[in-house]
Amino acid sequence: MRRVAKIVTSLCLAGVFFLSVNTFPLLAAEKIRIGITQILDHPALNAVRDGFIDAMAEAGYVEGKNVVYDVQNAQGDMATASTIAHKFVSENVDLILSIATPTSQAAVRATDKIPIVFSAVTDPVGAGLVKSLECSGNNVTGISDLTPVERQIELIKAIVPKAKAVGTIYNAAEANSVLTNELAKKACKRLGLKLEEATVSSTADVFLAAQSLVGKCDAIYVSTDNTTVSALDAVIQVTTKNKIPLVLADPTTVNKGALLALGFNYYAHGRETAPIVIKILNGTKPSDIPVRFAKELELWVNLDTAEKIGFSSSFLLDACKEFANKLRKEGVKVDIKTIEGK
Amino acid sequence: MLLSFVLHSLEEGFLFAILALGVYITFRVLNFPDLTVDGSYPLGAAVAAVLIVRGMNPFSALLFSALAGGLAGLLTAFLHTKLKITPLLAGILTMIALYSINLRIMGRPNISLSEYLGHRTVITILREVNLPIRSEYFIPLIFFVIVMVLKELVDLFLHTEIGLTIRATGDNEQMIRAEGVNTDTAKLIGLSLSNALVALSGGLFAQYQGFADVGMGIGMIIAGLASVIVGQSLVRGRTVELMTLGAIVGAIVYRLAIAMALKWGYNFGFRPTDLKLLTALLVITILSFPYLRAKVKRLEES
Repeated sequence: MRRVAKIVTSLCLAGVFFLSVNTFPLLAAEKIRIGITQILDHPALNAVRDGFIDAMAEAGYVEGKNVVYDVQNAQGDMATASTIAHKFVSENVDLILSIATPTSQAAVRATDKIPIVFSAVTDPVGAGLVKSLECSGNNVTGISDLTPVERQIELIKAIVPKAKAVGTIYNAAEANSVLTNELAKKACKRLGLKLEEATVSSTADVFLAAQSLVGKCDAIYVSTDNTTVSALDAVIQVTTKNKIPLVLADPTTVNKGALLALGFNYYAHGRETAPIVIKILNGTKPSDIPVRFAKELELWVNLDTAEKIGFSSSFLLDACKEFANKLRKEGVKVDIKTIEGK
Repeated sequence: MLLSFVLHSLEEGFLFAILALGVYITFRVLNFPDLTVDGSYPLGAAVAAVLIVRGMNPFSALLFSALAGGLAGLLTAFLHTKLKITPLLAGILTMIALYSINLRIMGRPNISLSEYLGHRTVITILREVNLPIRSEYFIPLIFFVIVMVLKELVDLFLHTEIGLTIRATGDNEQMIRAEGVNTDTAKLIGLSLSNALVALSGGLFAQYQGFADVGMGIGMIIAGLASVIVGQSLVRGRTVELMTLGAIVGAIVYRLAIAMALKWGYNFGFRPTDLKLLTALLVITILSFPYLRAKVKRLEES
């Protein structure tokens, strides 16, 4: 019995020791404490987080030195997103960085005092995060990841001038995708194109959805839909076999075999969040910082895919250069990058 | 500071306890593994959110959440009793159908109930109540009362004649069929009551977190089952009163385990990706505690 008591006591002591050692840095008052809440592990969302932390470090806010990050991930469970938000509030962190819509909504619900900076949210007004894009009217501001849908549809028209219909695949349960799809519909209408929609509810449906578009469209457009992007290989199998140009909003996956991508990468998106956070740490009120949109675009041209689907490389490059010049005249920063054919 | 975190975790636990009561009715009483839950929970949230956005009182909206959930349960029961589809498949079919139905009801995948958009929820109303105690303590208290009232109602119901029929159907269907009792009716009532509770929990949670999202239901049946089973091993006893109490305790313990994992887990070298593993470890620890305590006791005696 004595031995058992001894073991129990020492275990308790060890527990107390670990707790005190590990929570001590969090208690150090001179360090800035930032809570990062993310809805799930997703390459784009992880890139936002990494981009933010890297850009902060370059600006002099080094993790462990003068800033402490409490990185939390709800692993897809929305109730847990709420628990995480309350955890940050109960610890009175200096600032909350919320990545994606549900985590941002949970954070906004949990506090009206601690500054919240959101990122990777497409429609901040519709999600109830801010009153308007110009002035939130509360403790919240951030950066929208609305992809330039109109430009992407214009790009399709530029490379396939004779196109009559554009196909698209998206998950109707993703708030962001529903919004980008509405924008795509509008842009298509303006350019005299028909938008052929195929909806999916999981990655398993994507292959069939892509198949269903064959013969109905002259190009396929995939926006920032998480489900479709996760199963992009299935789309590429179909577009390569049927020689259909595939245009993406996500530049990081174009090398898998899409023809073009026009958008921004999420690492850069995360980096663009850092200056907003620094402004707030220096005393600016979140309501005085308007919500921003991505300012720097990348146009990726995959000549390897062009070869595979029998698309003239020289025509493609010329059309893209001309398109980029048009955008630059309108004040958009565009960087053309090419993937060479083998 | 820690207190406010514990209180918020308790609030979440109470809301999940309503779901656990529903799961208890199908899983334990009716002996019917009902997967409708993953669809009826977001259904309750969707109905409440849409009605609130249209201007309905948030309390009345909850009634409609429960009603919609009851209908979902009826559908599963209908598929099973009338069309002779097995319980698991009947639940799955209703669940996947509800996915599209929820999207139809909401019209989009995510509806915000934010005050910035001028929406009022149960929480905003409770916060405005003028009381000597702060809303921080008042809201969990109200949630606790709601859960206990629902528990009392479920207990009472299971002691009525219909309730006894439902229990008997779960215990030995063949036998009571031989007595001339209609077990189909028992299943219809049991499943609709269960899913009404689940949807009520979803409707309340949407108001609590300030938004309804069509993805809210993912994993809810697992959370519900875990709560019921954890509760059963913590609150021993076979009476209805103790078993409903067990479901409530289980839901609270399950939410507290997640909260603990989030709060302290990463101090011990775990990473955010380990959250579910950590939750599992904590629940295992809690479950094995009575056994270990008994073992220590035996060691003491020897």
